[in-house]
Amino acid sequence: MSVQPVSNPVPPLISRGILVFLAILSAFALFALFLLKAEGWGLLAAAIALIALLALPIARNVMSVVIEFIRTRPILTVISCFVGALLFPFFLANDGYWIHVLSIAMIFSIMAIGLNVHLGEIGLVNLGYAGLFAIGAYTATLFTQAGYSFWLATPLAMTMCWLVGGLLGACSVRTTGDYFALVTLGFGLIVQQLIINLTWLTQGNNGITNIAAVTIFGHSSKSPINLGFMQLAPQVNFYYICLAALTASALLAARYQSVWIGRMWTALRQDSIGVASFGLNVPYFKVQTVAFGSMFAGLAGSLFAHEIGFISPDDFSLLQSIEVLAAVILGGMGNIVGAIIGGILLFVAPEKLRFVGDYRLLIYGGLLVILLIYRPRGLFPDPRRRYEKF
Amino acid sequence: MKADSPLLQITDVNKAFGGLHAVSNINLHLNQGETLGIIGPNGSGKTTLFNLITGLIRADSGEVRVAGEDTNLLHMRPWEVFSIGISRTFQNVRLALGQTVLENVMVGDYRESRTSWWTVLVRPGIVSLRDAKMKDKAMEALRFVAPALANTPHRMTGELSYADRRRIELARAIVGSPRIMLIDEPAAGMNARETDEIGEDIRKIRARGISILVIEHKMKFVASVASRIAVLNFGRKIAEGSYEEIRTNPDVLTSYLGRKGDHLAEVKH
Repeated sequence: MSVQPVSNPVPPLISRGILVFLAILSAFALFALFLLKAEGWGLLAAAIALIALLALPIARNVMSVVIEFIRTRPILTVISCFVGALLFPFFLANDGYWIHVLSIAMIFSIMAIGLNVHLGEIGLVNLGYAGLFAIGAYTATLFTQAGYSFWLATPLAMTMCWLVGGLLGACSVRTTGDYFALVTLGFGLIVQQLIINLTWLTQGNNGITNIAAVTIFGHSSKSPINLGFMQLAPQVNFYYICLAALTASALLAARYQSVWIGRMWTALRQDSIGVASFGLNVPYFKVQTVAFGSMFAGLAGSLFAHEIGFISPDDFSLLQSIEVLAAVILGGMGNIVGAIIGGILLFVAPEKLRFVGDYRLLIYGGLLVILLIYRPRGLFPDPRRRYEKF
Repeated sequence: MKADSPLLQITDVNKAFGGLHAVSNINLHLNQGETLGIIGPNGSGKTTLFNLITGLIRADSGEVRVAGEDTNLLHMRPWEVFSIGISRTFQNVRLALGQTVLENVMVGDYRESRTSWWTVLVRPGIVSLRDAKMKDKAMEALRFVAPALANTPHRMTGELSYADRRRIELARAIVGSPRIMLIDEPAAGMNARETDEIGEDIRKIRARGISILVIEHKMKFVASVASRIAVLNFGRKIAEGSYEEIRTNPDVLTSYLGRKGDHLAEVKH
């Protein structure tokens, strides 16, 4: 008779599931603790130690175990992360500043998800994403300034970005790779110059101030949330709006990635001539994809304008485009989870580095370089890209 | 259109790259249910001819017509050529290495799984139904061409051998049930056994009623699959006929088989 393994008193699936749930929640709590408490040079030492840790071969194994788990238990992971994010304002002890920073970081992640459609899915390097972001922000702002609701202005801004993105795609459909990067670089600069110069519409360099607060069922986003036993900081309003938007964006992008569209994205990126010979109208599909990816910029732009309450051309510079690009590359091209984490890390890191004053961007850049030396394909590499050149 | 007119008629096709006449005044026809072999030395314009037919390269002049279609194929884009029932494989295998075997084959007739972007969000049922249908078709094609691969449809294409990748290309080309298949050097880089297997596959594909144009270097292989052979050299058709006719044609011997002009052949290689 063969030896039977000792049966587990708790069904393994459940116990393991709860374990993962708790692990993810503690990761969120640790992150909150890090944001609130880690300060000064100790923080920098910790960051360097973390990066050094990531460079170890064992980190790669640990990461691949984590990624494998996410792949096999996608729903559980998503729900755990969502619960963690829901509770995050409490983990942050209702600290308005960090809640605000994280809202913006999530907006940044929404952009990274959108740019990932261009860069990660069909391999187009878009250096003008901030231009689309600007179009989203200004479109939404102009509508709310004219008295329309934020909830109407946002879809309109998304539609606008979708249209402009389609136009951008149509203009550059014959270009690929470096040439697409050049076209979009020009596009980003044009948009910024237009915003500066169309003063009658955009108020030029002065920017648009006093953007109205958003109301949710009569509750203004500038007023605190009263839970009865405690008052949540007013920033929490936007935190949850951004969280909802980020979740929706991630699910939307993941949905398209999982159907025929995602399959054709990969096939197109890896061999555009091959797919053209199998019935795919490549230019049309590219235009559709670029438009789809641009739509996220509209959502992000609208959220950004209403969260900050002030927009000016400086917010939409080339540097902004490059930072989103860096977020996608750092996270791992083609990977939505990577785009989200990359976006949040890249936005939070400079905030945490404020204590070094003027050296902030220097150290930030240095950390990025070191990180990418050890993980050249980003934090969460996309397995579909294993056989591709860098 | 007359009943006895050929399925594919190639008339006076020309293409020059700068001063180089890659394809000049080629006339060929392919009958229903036939396999036509195209041979010729490297650089004789075989692959260029395929690229012209499938719309990857624009021709300078000429006409390519398919029975029952009004349009000149040379004015079509690659995806339009595919949609009238012409599929192809490539000399340098063009597969997405980061996708699984099955996904690559599914690309072969993606129209089967295509829905609108809107449908993807609002009617997930339709999308998964079409996807499942597409998967069945792809598996069927895979079992037909490469039964061994059909057992491991979820392997990454990048992990597979060159011969297996070529088989996937063949499966991808038949999944859309084309009328005509253009096969570009199917046996390149294969050993003797694999070459025989590919030959067997091509005969099986023809038995399905698909007409085939095949480019190949190996004379024996072409003789085993094709009923008629055309020989190209320097972009021109220098001979056409059965294997026996080709083998004894003096022009072919000089330019390609190199019996009379052995010294020339050596210089070329």
